[in-house]
Amino acid sequence: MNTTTTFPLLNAINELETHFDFQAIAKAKLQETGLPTVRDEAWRFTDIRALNQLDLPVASTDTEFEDTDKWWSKGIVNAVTVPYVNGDFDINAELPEGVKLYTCNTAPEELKSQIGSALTDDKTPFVDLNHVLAKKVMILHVSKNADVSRVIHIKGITSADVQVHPRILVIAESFSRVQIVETWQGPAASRYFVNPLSEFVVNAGAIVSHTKLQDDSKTAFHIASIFVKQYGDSQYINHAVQFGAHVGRNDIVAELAASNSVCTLNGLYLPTAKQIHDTHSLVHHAMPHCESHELYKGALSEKGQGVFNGAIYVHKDAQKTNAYQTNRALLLSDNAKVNTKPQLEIYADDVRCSHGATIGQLDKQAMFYLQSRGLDPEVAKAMLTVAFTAEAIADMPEVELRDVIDDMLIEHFSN
Amino acid sequence: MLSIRNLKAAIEDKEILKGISLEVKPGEVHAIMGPNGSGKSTLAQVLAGHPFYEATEGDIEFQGKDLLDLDPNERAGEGLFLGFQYPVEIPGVSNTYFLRNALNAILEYREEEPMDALTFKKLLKEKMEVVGMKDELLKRPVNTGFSGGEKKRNEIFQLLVLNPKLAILDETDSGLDIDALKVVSDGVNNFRNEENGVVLVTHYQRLLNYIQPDFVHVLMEGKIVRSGGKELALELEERGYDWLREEVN
Repeated sequence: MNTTTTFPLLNAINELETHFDFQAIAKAKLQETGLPTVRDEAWRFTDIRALNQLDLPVASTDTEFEDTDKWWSKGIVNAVTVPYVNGDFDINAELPEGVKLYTCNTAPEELKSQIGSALTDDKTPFVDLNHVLAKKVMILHVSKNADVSRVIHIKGITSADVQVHPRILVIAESFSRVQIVETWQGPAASRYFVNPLSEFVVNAGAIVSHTKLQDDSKTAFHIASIFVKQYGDSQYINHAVQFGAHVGRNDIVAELAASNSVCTLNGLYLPTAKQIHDTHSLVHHAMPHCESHELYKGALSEKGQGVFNGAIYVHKDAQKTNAYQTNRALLLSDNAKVNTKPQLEIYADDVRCSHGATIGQLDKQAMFYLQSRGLDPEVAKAMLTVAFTAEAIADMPEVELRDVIDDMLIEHFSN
Repeated sequence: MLSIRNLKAAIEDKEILKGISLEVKPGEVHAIMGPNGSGKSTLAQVLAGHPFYEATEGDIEFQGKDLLDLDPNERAGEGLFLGFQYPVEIPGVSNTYFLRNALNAILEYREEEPMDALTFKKLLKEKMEVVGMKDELLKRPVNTGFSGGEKKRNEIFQLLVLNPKLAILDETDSGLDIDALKVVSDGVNNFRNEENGVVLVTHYQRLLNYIQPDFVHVLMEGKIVRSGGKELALELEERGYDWLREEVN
């Protein structure tokens, strides 16, 4: 295949010299097979032709950067912020006790060797693209038993007309506790492509909260891959909220690699205008006595499209697995659309798995009730919609951020 | 304050109200009674502007305005309140948040200043005492997980906080035990004054032992077949509706 003509986005990799074997492999693979299209099952409802067509340069330190911080940024209080601007960050950023920041050049060998350790075979071509084009790997190391008092806010910012491939590795050592917040933004109405790849290695007994707020430009593309590897008695709690991007997608793969680990994946998707918000989750139950809980909610307006694909894979050794998954969507217009697909593969015989999906509209009785008390139909609609979404973020441990997201939701649905 | 003239209303082309006329003046309490399916609840819903019902004929004047021209929220702004037979559960919206927004929306409609947080809090406290509502119910989502009695109490609480000109209470007494009935009635009596009006829609006479109506109207098959004073309710209690049905036919 002539990938250059079909996928101008890949022009960025052609001239590039690779430094490592994994990069060379990734590059060769991309040059051979290209990027996904709607003909690929996993991208059937997520048309990224417009992205594939973009011939964007990779952001560098020379890329012009305009600090147009969104209002919600200031609401994330009690956090230590590490800006990740156009794929670059300050290695000397100050961090709370128990957490250290490295990149490839500065990380001790035993940490560096863990890059890629949480990845599974469930990689999209965008993981390969990140392998080839990532500039500076952000490694956050949380030491053993550390109970990190402050939220770590990785603040991703992208400039217009570039592509950026942020790469994050979080290693939470045994019995540590940490809260990581990831936010993404860029200049309003600008076009860019951000392709973050993050790995979370959650060691025995560690508890990691990972909240992601995507508020990119509505004409940008945000395709993220998150890989989580959990060891015994660990907990990983993810909340992913998608507001922005023309196409916003999260591919989350969690591997429960040792017994008694608990994985929670919650999220909100809120496409409007012609946005597409896609969530692909995949939970590998590899070992017995693990739990996974998933709750996703979508509120779609105008011509917004939602895609949810929730896969649960219970391997043959994973007896006593307890896994449930729910996706609920609220269609606020006749033209909004959601495609939802649960996918359960179970090879153990003593498990509890359930899934549910509902698609509905605003309750007319509730609308009338609120209106009969004096509320304008638009206000009533916003109130009911925000209430509908509340459940998906109710357990977010970062309470201040949740309040900020509440305000964002009210603003979003009041327009 | 309310004049209904020859009102006909339908749901999905099925005519339910077949020509109703009713006059409510300030300070009056009217009871609308009648057997199941007579159109009592339909009348209440049409007055509040439920979108499922269509008024096909006649008119309703409320406070000098054509009520049928107004949206449900505008009707509330003008001072109309419907106490629901089945109050709707609104998960995720706290009672306080809801009421504050509702009250301020009504004030905004009347081009008045919104109520400040402190005054609002005082108002809530005062009205909570009237209906014996616990603090905890204020923080809970509207009606969510409330018992039948708690829901009805919450309706009366909203009535007192919003303080409308005209309260239409649709089967507010249904499903209540005697203690709850007393609380709800006390609330309505607390609300009553020379300037406002109350329309009680009820199936049973027992509510009228606690709230004394000035007029009783009997609705049957979409028409008011008899009007009288409170003694009419007692007669219905004693004799049921059949004698009236026979007399009408």
